[in-house]
Amino acid sequence: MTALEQRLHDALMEGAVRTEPAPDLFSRVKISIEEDRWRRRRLQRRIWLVAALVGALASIVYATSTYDNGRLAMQWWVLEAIATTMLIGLALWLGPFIKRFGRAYAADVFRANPATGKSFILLADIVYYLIFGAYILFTVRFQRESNWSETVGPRQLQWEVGRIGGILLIIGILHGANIVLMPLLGRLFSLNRRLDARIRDDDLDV
Amino acid sequence: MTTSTSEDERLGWEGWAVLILVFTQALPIGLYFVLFGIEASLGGGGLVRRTVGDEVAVSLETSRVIVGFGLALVFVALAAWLVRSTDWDQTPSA
Repeated sequence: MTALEQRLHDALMEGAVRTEPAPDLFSRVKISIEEDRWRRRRLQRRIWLVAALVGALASIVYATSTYDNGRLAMQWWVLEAIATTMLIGLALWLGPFIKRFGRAYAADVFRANPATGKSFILLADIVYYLIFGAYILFTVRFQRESNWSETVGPRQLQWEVGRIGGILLIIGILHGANIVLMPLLGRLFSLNRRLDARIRDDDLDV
Repeated sequence: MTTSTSEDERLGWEGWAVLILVFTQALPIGLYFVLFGIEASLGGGGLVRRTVGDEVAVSLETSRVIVGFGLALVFVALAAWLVRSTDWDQTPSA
């Protein structure tokens, strides 16, 4: 050990002797280890979930496709049904998923009148589901388009990808508009309530 | 530590309904389809005999459909179980 290392060692040891460990150090370390374990477990579950969904999709493709000259051939209506199911799944999953992260935001915006906030969120949900439902019903095809082939081809694939992109765009625009409008509406409701109270007080004074 | 009461509260009746459906319906039916489809494609077996009798003539196409949808049901059941049995929000310190 060099002289410098010895001096550093002595200084650190001297400091360590004077320092009292925090009384909750052990429990904090324990919680931190548990949190880390919990995060890893959640990540594993997420990976398993994605794998299960991919497996389900692959199984349906396997069940509904035939091999024709080394190519996988699927009837046009099968892809249409898969895409429609995916759209319904996206609409049902993304709504609550986004709401989970927006709860604190909505609570902050409507802190003056939480009951109005709850009604607003409920009504916004109904609006979203009506729009998603309308979009899915407008875009579903019961008859093969004239430029589609009997089996799935690039044109149909392009259309189905566009449908999924369309619903993502609608969800994005609606939630973006909600993020911008919600504080304005929250403020407006709160001012309205205060204005009503002031008018009532003025009437009582007169 | 999670107690059974908080587990009940977290899952709610819909969560329990999903888990019961997964383990009593979707998973066994899916596995049954998979085994039935495989056995039928091989010319029959115990499961096929018990279900449709001795004579069975299932083409490879049909057995693939049965196996495929059975597998899909198993995967969907696993996904539903993973979603419902995981507490996505809670942290140990919470």
